Amino acid sequence: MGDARTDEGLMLQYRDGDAAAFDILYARHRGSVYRFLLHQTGKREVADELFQDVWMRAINARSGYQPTAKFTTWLYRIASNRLTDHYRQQGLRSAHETELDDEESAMPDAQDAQQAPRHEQPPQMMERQQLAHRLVSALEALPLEQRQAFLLAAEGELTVEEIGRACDVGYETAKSRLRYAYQRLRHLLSDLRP
Amino acid sequence: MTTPQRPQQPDAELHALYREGREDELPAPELDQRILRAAHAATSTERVHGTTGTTSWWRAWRPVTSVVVAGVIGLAVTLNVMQQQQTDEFSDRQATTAETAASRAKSSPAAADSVAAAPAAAPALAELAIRAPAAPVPAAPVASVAMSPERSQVAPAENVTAPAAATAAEAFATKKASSELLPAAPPFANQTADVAAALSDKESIGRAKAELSTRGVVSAQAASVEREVAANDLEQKLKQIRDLARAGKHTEASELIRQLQHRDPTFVLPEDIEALLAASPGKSK
Repeated sequence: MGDARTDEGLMLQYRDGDAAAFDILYARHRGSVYRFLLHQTGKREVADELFQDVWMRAINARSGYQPTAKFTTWLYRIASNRLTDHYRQQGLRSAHETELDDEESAMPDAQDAQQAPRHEQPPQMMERQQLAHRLVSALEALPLEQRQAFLLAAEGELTVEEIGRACDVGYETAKSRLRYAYQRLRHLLSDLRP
Repeated sequence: MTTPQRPQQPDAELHALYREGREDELPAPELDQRILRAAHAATSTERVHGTTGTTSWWRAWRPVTSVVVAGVIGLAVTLNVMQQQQTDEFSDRQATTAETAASRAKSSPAAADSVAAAPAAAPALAELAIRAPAAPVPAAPVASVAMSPERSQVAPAENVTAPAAATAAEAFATKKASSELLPAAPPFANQTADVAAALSDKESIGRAKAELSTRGVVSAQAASVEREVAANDLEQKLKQIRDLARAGKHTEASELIRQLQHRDPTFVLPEDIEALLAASPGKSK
């Protein structure tokens, strides 16, 4: 049976010196945070490094932790900041530049993303599984901010408002990013659906 | 074709597809161990250095400390006010006593005469009053008034000069040398000196007036005492002369009469003694 304590309560306990509370928190969120970083960077080595940095930052920031928001919002904000630092170090396009991309230019090539010809698709179960794998692969073609918004919603289960807080952007911006992400993914998947 | 979505609601179908399609990617166990060790080490370090403990201690004791400090300040202020009130009350009593004595002295014709007639003799008589232990009669009221000032207000005013003299002695003793003159009550003497120093200018003026008035009363009282002593002495001498005359010792009786006449030229021998001397035959020693 899982621990009924909330994430915020566990973090407060850890802040006050209860190391076991951190173990529970880490077990709850290690997978989602790791996948969030992995799908953002696309490289396991980089994801490992960022993952460790994110949790180390959370450990070092525990004394100033206040439960003013959800713990996951706080944690994914640390992760988003670390990602931004990573992109800057790598000289990738800035968030503002990608924000200006129009929908069509960012649209992935459906034909390139397609992994198998339609006539080779198995029955319905196999088709759905293929669709799911296709979606995950299509994520890489999304602009960084849209991918980040989608992953925060799908992995972190954050609301639009929480995504805005985690990414340090306004509500409308977060909503726009998420909407474009959904549209592009559906546009891609529509080609695969019968 | 793109299906329109409500932007506020997550796309549940896409999320479900994503979860089905993702591999169960997890961090390496070594990475987990490293992070968990760091987390535990951080709390251990805090326990050793007490950083979090110090913060918690301060946060826990901050309201208690505030309450204690406020209580101490409040207590100090209250005690200070109470002390000040006591001092003011005592000063008021002193001033009231002096004013009462002054008014009594003014209302007493004898005292007023004394004030008018004996300004030069006042210091000497005041000193006589100060030498209270040597003079039993004025010493008692001086001591009693000095020890409890409120008694002067409740004591019956049978003799106007008695409370006036007592008040004068008290005022004089307070101003000059109460601690020397009243060794039995040195703390009160010190208090009196403090209160006298704390009096305002207005009160000082009133006291000075009262003192001037009471000095005259002291003079009258001292003169009265002298007269009384002299009268007692005269009575004793006359009694002695009568005894000698009855015993027929006319020579000794005449000698005493001569001493009295020498001391007081206006002395007139009482008729009964003259009759005794004339009736009984004289015999010498």
